[in-house]
Parts: sequence; C-alpha cells; structure tokens
Amino acid sequence: MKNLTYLFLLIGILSCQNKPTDGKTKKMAIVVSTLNNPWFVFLAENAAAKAKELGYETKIFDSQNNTALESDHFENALVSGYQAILFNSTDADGSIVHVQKAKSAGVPVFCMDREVNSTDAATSQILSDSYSGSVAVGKYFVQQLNKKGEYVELLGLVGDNNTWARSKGFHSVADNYPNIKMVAQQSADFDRNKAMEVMESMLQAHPNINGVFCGNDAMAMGAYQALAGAGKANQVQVFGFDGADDVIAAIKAGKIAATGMQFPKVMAQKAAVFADEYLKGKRDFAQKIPVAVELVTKANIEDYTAFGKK
Amino acid sequence: MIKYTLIAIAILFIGYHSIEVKPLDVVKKAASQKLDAVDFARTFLTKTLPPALEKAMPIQNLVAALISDKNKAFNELSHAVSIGNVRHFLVKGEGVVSKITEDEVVILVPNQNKNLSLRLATEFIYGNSIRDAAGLFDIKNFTNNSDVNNIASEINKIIRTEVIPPFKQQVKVGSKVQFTGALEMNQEHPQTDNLEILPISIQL
Repeated sequence: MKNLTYLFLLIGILSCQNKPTDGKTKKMAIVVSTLNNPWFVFLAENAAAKAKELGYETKIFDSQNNTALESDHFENALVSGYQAILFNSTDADGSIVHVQKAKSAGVPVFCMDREVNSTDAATSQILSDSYSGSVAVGKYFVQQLNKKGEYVELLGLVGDNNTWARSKGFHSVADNYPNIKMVAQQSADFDRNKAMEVMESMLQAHPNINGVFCGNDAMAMGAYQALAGAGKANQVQVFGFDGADDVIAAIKAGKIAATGMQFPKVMAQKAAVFADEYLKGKRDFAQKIPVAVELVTKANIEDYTAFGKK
Repeated sequence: MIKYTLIAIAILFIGYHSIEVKPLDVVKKAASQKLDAVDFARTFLTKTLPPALEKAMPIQNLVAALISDKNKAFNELSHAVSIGNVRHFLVKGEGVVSKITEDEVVILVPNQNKNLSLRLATEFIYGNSIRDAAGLFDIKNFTNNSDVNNIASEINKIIRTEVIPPFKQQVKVGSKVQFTGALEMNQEHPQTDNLEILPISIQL
C-alpha cells in the first residue's frame, strides 16, 4: 500500500510538469483594449478562435481602456508562460513600454488594429488601412456631392492615430476640389451621443451643409439622428467608417450614404497565424501590415454584413 | 560662499544634462533618412515601373482569364500591399474613344465577339492601384505607414497633373488610344464589365 502511494505521488508530480506553467504548453494571450465595445469583442474572440485552431491554449485579457490594467495583464501573461501576445493596445504611446517588456522577456507581440508608436517593439502590427479606406470614402463623397457644396467633419479621439489617418485620407481627396468647402471640424470622441450634440450645434451655425464626414460609424449614427431631428436628413449626406451593424442597416435604408468597412476577423486571424509562424521559427515579418478597408454604399450593400463580408 | 558654489555647480549639472550636443553631420544624416515621397514617386514612375509596363497584361486576356478561372487569375496576376480582397492588376490595351465626360474617357477595345468597353479615369485618380499593380512595391522596406500612403498619393498626383492634362486637351471621340494602367478589383466580387482603369501612360 505504501508503494502504491509513492507511485500515485510520482504520477502526480510527473503530470504537474505538463501543466501550462512549465512554458512548454502552447499558449497565446489575447490582450484587448476593451470588451465593452462589440467590435473589440469580435476581434478578441476571432483571435482566440484562430489560435485554438492552431493548437494553442488561449486567454482573453480585458484592459478596460486602462494602461495600468494592461500592464498587469502583460505581467500576468509573462509570468504564466504565454509564448506570444496578440495585442490590441489602449494607447499608442502608453502601451509601448508593455510591448517592450514582453520583447525583453522573449515573448513576441503582434498588434491588431491599433498600433503602437514604435517600430522596434512589436514583432508586427496588423492594422486597418484607415488612410486608404478614407481615400475611397472621400472619392465617393466628392462624387456624391458633384464636386460642390459645404460640409462638416466629425473627428474621433484627437489622441488616436486612426482619427488622423482617416481625416488625412479623406482630405487628400476632398481638398482638391475648391468648390467643396469644409465649414466646421470638431471632435466627437468616436461617441454617438456626443456626435449628436456636436452636430446639433453645427447645424445652428451652418444650416446649409450638404455632407458630413464622420471618423466612425457611431458618430455617423449620432449625426444622422441630429439631422433627422432638424428635418435635414434628406438634405445632408452622412458618411461613416467601420462597418457597424446599425450603419449597414442605415445604408440599406438610404439613411447613411457610405462607410469604410474594416475587417477585424482578418486582422485577428492574421495575428494568430503570424504568432504561430514566429514560434515555429519565422522571423521575417513586415513591421506594419495594412488590411484593406472596402467602400460600402447602397450599390454593393448586399455583399456585406457587420464587421465584414457575408 | 559655499552656498553659491553649490548652486553654481547644480545649475551647471542641470544645464549640461538638459542639452544634447550632436555633430552637425549626424543631424544632417538623420534628416536625410526621412523619406522624400515626391522624389520616391517620380523615381518609381520613371525608373522602377517602365520595365514592368512592357509586360503588362492585355486587358482582353485578363478578362478572359478572370472568366475562365477567377482564383488563378487573382493568384498569378494581381498584387496588393494590403491584406484583403482589394487587389490590383497591371494592364495595357488599345482602343477607340467612344465617349468623353468630365471625369473619364470611355474607349472600346476590340475583343472576340464584341468590343470591351473601358473607362479611363481622368479625374478621380486616387488610391493604391498604380503603386501596387506591378507588385514592385515592397512594404517591408518601410516602417512607417504614412510613407507608404504618401508615396501612393504622390504617384497619383504626378499622373493627374502631368499625364492627364495633355491627353484631355487632345483626345476626341474616335481617337485611337494606347494605354497602360492599373485596375482595382475585389477578389470576392470581381466584375468583368464596366471596368475603370487608372492610366499610367497614354498615347494618342
């Protein structure tokens, strides 16, 4: 009986050595900026699903848009033996130190959708091509306005790189047409309610506008609400960016003119595949890889659903 | 006296560590490493791209290839810097102008049973097609996305300001046109009619 006890003890010790903490079990951590927004939930879940498909254990960490919490998640991931981190940052500058810490520990980080402002911290950054997507929206905007008219722009968070990439892409087209005039530009923080308030205020000062370019779909919906409330929904065309479900429905209904469709699933899956390739020995990755954004209008709306293609 | 000496030492210490002195040649070298997108775009259009234009796919052949085997055509003939469904083809052709509008010139290219109608863009020349179509632009050479975007923007600007104006001045309905250009297509939903081509070179 005593020998049998020792045998079970030995088996127990040996089985412990195969648990994830030994660093040999294949594990990927997914650290995401927030799970309060369905777009990021979709991103995180698709990253986890692809990593699992590739044979990895996964865990999703929610940073709740807080860099301090994000720092804790990185610490936990490194201590717990995760071999790669698929990362959606909370702050382009503030998150760099976390990525560098992982890099120093020999753990590669693959950024998804949101970039960090460093070119030697993450192994690769897979990002929506916001600039080019907004060029496409800008071209359609100019065509829809027949190269003339007044418009306003609702910017996203002023500290977010995507805000300016989208604005610059749009202006790289619209600014070439002297008869199209931007009469106001203001941030609404990517927020629907704030966009409605800003739009209401803008309409007081500029009642004759023909178009609104919004840095995301939530603001586009807020702007549309304000326009509808003011009885100007048929006079002003609204353009968004993201590919959110309510905007897809609004394009079908003729309420929103167009959006730039992003593909979170593509970014998430590519990050997991890259991490797998890295762990198998590949080292030659482009630092920043753009993911194409597609123009969605009433003409091609049937080809799309929220967050991507049907 | 000791008090003032200590203050002076403290000021000198803080002052020394507040200023970074670099040799001028190091600063100039760092500045020169910034990408000049205008210069890059011109070199791309005048030196990098021309050899590839000779090997551009005749547009009729591309349409036939897409109808015959879409996936093979995209895999073998299209290029894109971005991941995703938006791809670009380098094409060439010859046809007769059938219509001229403010934004485009419509040309008919002889094809097997009926003419192929193409729209040569003369106004809305934007996006990444011309940069990407030949597959000669390697994003691994760039760490900054704004450089990649600025290059596309400058390439398009050169076409809009230097290639298009003389063409628009001379072109008439009935003119014979030879062109090379870039064609953007969505891999998931390719269309083989009503094609819009961004010109790279045009000859009347």
